[in-house]
Amino acid sequence: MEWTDGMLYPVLHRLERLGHVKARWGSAENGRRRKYYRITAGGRDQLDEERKQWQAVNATLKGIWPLVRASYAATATLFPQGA
Amino acid sequence: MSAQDHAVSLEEQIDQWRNYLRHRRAIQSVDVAELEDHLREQIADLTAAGLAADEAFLVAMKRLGNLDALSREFAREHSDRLWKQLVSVAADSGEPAAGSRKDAIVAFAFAAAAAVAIKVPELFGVHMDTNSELPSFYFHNIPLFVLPFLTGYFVWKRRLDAKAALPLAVAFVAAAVFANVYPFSEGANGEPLASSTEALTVMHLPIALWLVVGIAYAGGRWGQVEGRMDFVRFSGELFIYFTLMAAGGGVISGLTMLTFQAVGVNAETFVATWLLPCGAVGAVLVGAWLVEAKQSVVENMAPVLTRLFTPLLAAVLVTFLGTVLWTGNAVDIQRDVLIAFDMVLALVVALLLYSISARDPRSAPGLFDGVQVVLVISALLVDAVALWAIAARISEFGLSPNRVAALGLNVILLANLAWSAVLYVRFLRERGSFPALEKWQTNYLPVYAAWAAIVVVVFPVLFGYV
Repeated sequence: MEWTDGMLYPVLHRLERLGHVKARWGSAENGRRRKYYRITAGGRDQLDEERKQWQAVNATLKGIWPLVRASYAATATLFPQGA
Repeated sequence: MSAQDHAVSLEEQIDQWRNYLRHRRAIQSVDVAELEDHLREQIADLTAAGLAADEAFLVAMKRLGNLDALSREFAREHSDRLWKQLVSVAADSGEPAAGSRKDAIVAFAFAAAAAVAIKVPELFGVHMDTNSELPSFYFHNIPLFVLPFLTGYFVWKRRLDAKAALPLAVAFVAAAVFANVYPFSEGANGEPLASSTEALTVMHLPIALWLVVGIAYAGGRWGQVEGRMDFVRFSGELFIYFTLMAAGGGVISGLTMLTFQAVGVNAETFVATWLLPCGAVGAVLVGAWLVEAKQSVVENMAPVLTRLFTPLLAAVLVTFLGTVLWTGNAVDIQRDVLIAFDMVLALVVALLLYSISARDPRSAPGLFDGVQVVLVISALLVDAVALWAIAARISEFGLSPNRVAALGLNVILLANLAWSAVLYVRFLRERGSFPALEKWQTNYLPVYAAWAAIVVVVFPVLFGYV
């Protein structure tokens, strides 16, 4: 699926339904009606949770990369190019 | 071209775009307004960067995205909007007239089949007669003359395969067995439903079987909150249609009897033994078809009624509590007072369920939500007062089947309302979300059916068919 600007709004509505953000209509500087979103306390909790999960994934990957690189290096020593 | 011309044509283009978007069913005018604000902001940025107005419009349009893909994303998130328009959506995709005519024919065929079915027992000597009591056979089996046909209609309509339809058929066969095999004790002068476990069976069987209808109605979506919520909506609208048709049918019956009386023919037997029973079972099927076909016409009826009665009932309950506190009168515990309190709780649960079914889960907590919480909490307190009074004397009255059934129902409704109150207050304090409440209510639906099934299957044996 190709991501476009418009698809932001269904996502915002979903976050709103789940209570993670709150929306209200206001007027912009130029007088047009505009919808403003702000994060709720529940949304902040959820964000923290997601961040923790992401950090866990990130930490795991960080731990794995040196091992992967080491195993590359080991393979390269065992089987040098052109051998 | 002058700047003036550019501005005019830009407005025209945006107008066209807006009108085009309004025809998308999943995108409502507030969403169009939100998207339009985004579009205009983009156009302003792009013209500031040096693009001409029409170029800016094209680029901004392109960035906003393909309208088909966009409206699909909106539809995915706002499936509740589409419920109102399922029929019209189906009509968009193919020959609309032929599809809905076929639907009507099938629905009326099922209605006719149900109307015939209710008269079949006559062939086996079970008569409806205006001069004597209705045989208890009819009391036991009424749901089985209607609900299998209703289920069949939805099995056809939702195109369920044999694997999905088989468990439903098994449920009806089991129901037919349990409705008829128990040797309930007879009344003194042959009056029907003399035994209380028998009366309980008659009352609870339709409730248990309504779940089977729901599973057929939801098609493959019974596992989803939305599927079950659609069934709740359907049930409410069907109830309203049925009530309207019953009122109309009553008028027709009265007129039939009056006009035939004028020519010296007594039509009472025809009305009571043919028009009424056949009409009533047929009306359920016709009502179901109407709800399916005309969803957008009365889709707001059940929610409108809840809006009217929620504040009224809340006021009554709060006044009742106030009176109990003020006068210090203990609740006068008659033998079957628990039934009355059960009915209050059931009404509160229904009001809650239907206002949840109609509420946009995205809107912020409002005054009506406050009234709803007052209603739920006052109902809990009223019930607590009643239970307190009853608990003291339950041993004195003994555990008759009626009392155990009433107590069980009370516990079930109480648990529902207590947790609903917690979820609702969390939602009002922005600590929880509205869908949590929807989920709780729709997950609870099978509990009612399970309890009804227990009353039908276990109670007669447990209490020795008294």
